[in-house]
Amino acid sequence: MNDMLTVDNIHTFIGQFHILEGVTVQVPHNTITVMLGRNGAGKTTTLRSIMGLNPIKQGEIIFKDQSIGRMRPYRIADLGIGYVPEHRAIFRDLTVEENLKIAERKRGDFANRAPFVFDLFPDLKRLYHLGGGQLSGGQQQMLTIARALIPDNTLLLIDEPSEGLAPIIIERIIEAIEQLSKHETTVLLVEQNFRMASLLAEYFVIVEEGCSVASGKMADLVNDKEMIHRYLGAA
Amino acid sequence: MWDDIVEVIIGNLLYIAEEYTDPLPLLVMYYGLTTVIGGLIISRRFVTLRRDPMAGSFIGFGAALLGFGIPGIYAVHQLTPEKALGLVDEASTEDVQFRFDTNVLWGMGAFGFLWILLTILAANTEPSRFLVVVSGGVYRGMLIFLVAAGLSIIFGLMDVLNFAQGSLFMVGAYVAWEVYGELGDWRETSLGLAAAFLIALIAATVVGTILGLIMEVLFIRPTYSRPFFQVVLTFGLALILREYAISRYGPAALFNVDLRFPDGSSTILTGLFPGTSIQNYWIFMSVIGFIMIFGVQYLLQNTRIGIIIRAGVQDSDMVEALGINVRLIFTLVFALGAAIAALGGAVASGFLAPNPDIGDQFLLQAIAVVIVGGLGSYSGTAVSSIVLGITGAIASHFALVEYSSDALGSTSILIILLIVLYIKPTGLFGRAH
Repeated sequence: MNDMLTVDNIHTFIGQFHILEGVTVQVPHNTITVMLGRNGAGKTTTLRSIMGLNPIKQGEIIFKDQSIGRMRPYRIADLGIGYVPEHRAIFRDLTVEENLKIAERKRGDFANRAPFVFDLFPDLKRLYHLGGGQLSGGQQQMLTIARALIPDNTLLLIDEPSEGLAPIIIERIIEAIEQLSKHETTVLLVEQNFRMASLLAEYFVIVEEGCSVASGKMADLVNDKEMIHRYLGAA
Repeated sequence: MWDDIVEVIIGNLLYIAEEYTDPLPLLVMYYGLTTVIGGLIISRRFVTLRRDPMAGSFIGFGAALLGFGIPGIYAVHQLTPEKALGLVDEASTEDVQFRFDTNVLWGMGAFGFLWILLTILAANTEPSRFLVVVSGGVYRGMLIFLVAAGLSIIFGLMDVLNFAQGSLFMVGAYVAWEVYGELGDWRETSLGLAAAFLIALIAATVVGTILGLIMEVLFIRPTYSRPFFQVVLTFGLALILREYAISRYGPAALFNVDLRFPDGSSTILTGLFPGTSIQNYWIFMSVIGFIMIFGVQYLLQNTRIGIIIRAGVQDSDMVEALGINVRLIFTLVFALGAAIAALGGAVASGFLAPNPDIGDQFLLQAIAVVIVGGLGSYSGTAVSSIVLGITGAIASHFALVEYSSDALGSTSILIILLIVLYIKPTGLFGRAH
């Protein structure tokens, strides 16, 4: 088994609504895999299901040869999965420092990882004592990623990091994610920005109306104009 | 009616202006103004960076009071330059627009409103009576706070409106009464009496904690996805606890915990300060209340569990996704809220006779205080408890003088609730989501 994470044909309900109707994703070790698809296709719900925040009804999720489909979210996180939610969901009433320290899973995580994190996002060091709500959108996005890097995570689930950000900030985020994968972190990325996705990812999965409909190497997708047009609209 | 109210206010202000020879109203007015202005100036430093309106409000308040107004404010201002606080380095000032948190304006507005009332009271009463009314208001605010603190944190974190919070207050009062009664022999000596009372307080807090744990695990936990069930459930639990109290102690009020020696003479607890013993006990209750306000504030601001609670108020899913067992935190917070309420009841039992309705009479006011302070804002709850407690006491005082009834006391709190909801529906320190 070469895959770090295997999501096998999962079905998820939110309330009475059948949101995921069979999503299969494979994330190989030390790669960046991107999940593509239109708004409302079920990409965010897939990430939330992996995290256990929207528990699955059917199917199976395997992380490092261990079934995590029925675990509570905090146990899943404990195995080494970091979640970077969409909409820059930092804790607005906490300072940057507290936002990072709350992510510690064992004592000393923050001290160990702080040099790496501040090397990746030098801005955060400068903004250390400010409230999360006072940061700009780009700074908040950096903080959500930094927060997921404090504990010893081997897999990151990153949801739409480029959403609503200026191009220059997007470049910075791209650089940071590239840096991460050089440091043996595996990434499952949800991204609407096709250029960003094609720059970063090695593998792709396309989700359409709650089902995964295609997957493969990103290099092949970039040349397959017809598939891009069919599932992603004009790109 | 409005004409009458306006006339009364204007009449009072004119009266104060004419009676400038009487120092008390002037002193109160001076402190009021300096508190509001100084609070604004000082809190800016705390609020811009720490987003902590309460610290700013209280430090402004304390500085004005202890430092005799303007000089005190000036001193604190000089002692806390932004860089000395270690909160800003030069680079980050470029990134942040320093601005007032409007919530502090509302907090200061509440204090300003309070000081207007105090000035009117000072102009219309003897200084000794003034102190009685104000200290009565502070203790009343503290008892409301002890019920409201749990209500506020529990609602903020878990979206549970716990109607049983008042019943936990009642349980605390009865437990303290019972334990203190059991230790009757100890009351011969000053030390023994203090120890007996302390043990009664601790026992009540422990029973409250255990009851809170049982309630959360057995009843609240299974119903998080059904908020309406929870409201009905906590209301039902409140009724059950009330009926149990009636079956065990009878429907009538007991005698309050008597902190005098068996022969009726004063003890160290009743005689700490000169004057009547009742007022000393008010001060004791107020001190306990302030200790709890700042203790819980310290817990929220400076400990890991406090950070988790504040984060969870905003987004408990995300806290869980960081690897933190949020349900365990919910249980602990529920128990903490229950413990504070039970401690409140135990403290109150030294002054108020335990009865089946002792908690419910504070519950309604506590709910009002939580809403006025802003749902989910602990600081707002703390500030509005004190402001509304004193307001209630002043309203009671005037109602007693004018109509020989103190019913206006609790009503005034609800009137303020209506006004605040009309002007700022999110409450004083609340944020729109």
